[in-house]
Amino acid sequence: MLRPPLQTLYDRKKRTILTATMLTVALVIPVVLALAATTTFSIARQKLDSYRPIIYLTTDASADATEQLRNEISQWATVATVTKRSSTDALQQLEKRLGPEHVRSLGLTKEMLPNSLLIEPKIPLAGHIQLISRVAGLEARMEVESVDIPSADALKTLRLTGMATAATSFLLLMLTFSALNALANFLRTLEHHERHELAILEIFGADDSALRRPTLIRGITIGLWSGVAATALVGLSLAIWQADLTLALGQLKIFSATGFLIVALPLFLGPLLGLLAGIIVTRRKDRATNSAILRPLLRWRGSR
Amino acid sequence: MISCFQLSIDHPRDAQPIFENTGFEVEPASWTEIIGPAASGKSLLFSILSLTHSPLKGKLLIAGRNVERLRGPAYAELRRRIGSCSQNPTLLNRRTVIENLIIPLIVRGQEANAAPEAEHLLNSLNLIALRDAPLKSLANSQRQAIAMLRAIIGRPPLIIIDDGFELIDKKHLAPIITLLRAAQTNGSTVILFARQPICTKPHVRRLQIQDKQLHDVSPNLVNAPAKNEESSC
Repeated sequence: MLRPPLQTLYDRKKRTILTATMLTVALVIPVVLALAATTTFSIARQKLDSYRPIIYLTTDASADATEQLRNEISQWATVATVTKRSSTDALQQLEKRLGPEHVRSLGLTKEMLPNSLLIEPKIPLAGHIQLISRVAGLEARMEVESVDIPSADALKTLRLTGMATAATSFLLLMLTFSALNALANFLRTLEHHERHELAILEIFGADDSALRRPTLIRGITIGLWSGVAATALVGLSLAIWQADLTLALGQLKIFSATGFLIVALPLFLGPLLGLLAGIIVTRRKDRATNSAILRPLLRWRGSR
Repeated sequence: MISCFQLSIDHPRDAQPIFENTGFEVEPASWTEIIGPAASGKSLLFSILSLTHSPLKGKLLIAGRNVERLRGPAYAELRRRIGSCSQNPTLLNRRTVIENLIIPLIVRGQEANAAPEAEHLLNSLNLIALRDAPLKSLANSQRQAIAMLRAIIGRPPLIIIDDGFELIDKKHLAPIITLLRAAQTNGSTVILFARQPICTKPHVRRLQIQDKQLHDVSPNLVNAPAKNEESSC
């Protein structure tokens, strides 16, 4: 080309900025959604991981029945250990947590507290999910007073996270497609504007790669600019609102390795999208046919 | 330089044959004129020789390469050895004269001496004052002259010009012929398409398009009158 490929972008500043902004938005939204999804997933998982199911036995449950139940639960594949907690142990734990004075002032005695079985799951998350239904089913037994099942909200959140991930993926595809289309159209316009120069270059022997290079360079450059802008935007937003987000979400590490990877993803995705748009614009459809050699030239000549 | 056997070409629009089983050869560093009336197929033959169109049938060898078997980069490589100027040349109207001239040298990777070479050619035609003028400001005859200079620049091994000589001012035509002659002396093969003979000197080989064939009517065979007697070929 007579002029550097990026000179054309400079000559069309408004359209270049508009296209780069569209691509930036298309990169920012999925990144924010991905961050939100991983954060929510992490919160739900934390809640489930910290859960230890407890089975409260009736006051009239016999020692034999309690032991039989403990043995039965111990054999479940998802259970690591089952510990029996007597009413005396329960009172001691209560006194340790609240203080003996406070417990006495509440009028609680060991007769008022039930015996219970504490379950330690073998597999932190998957074990819980499988365990929940089995533990919940124990309520039907005569010797069981009640069971403490994990927060239904955490489970719902996990399911919602899955649905949100699917919706995000769809949105991501739509946004990516739109941005890719906008970028490809812009690159096609630039290429069309230079069609005479490209035709002359081809007549005098410029090869396919030389003719495609300017469009590919422009695509990659716009993609890189958008990627840098998207990463800077998300990174700065997180840095500014880090304190508020930590307050709202608890002790959560937003700036984890995964978080950094997600925030830095546009730096890679942007140029990749730009390259893809360039390839779409410059691809030769009938490469296999005999007339393919003359295809670009004829295309340019046809568009005169 | 060029060998052509059993060439058949159909008219692109009505599919009527323009050439049927014709053939010709062009020696390296020779001066060949292909003469024919309007619509006789000169431009079509030009587009085939300048590798912008493929023949319907026949074998075409340019610089020892079988055009039919060429693919992608090899095709481009062969085009880099050809300087061509069509009857309606594509020029960049918004670019300057010198920018238009140096394009072939940029493609051939000879950017270093592109500007001096272009300036030398413009000097030859006394057009150096138009060096940085936008091409759209030039007269038609000047534009045609620039297109021909673009074919000559860098003295490629094969120079092909398709007609348009009558559009050029006489004061520009003579230097262009001189430049073409110098290129030929330097080893370039020159092929000119025209309605009338350009040069009558004995070194000229002339082919006449007649009855869908190319006939050799070189000056040593036929004493055809030259249209441009003042040309210095």
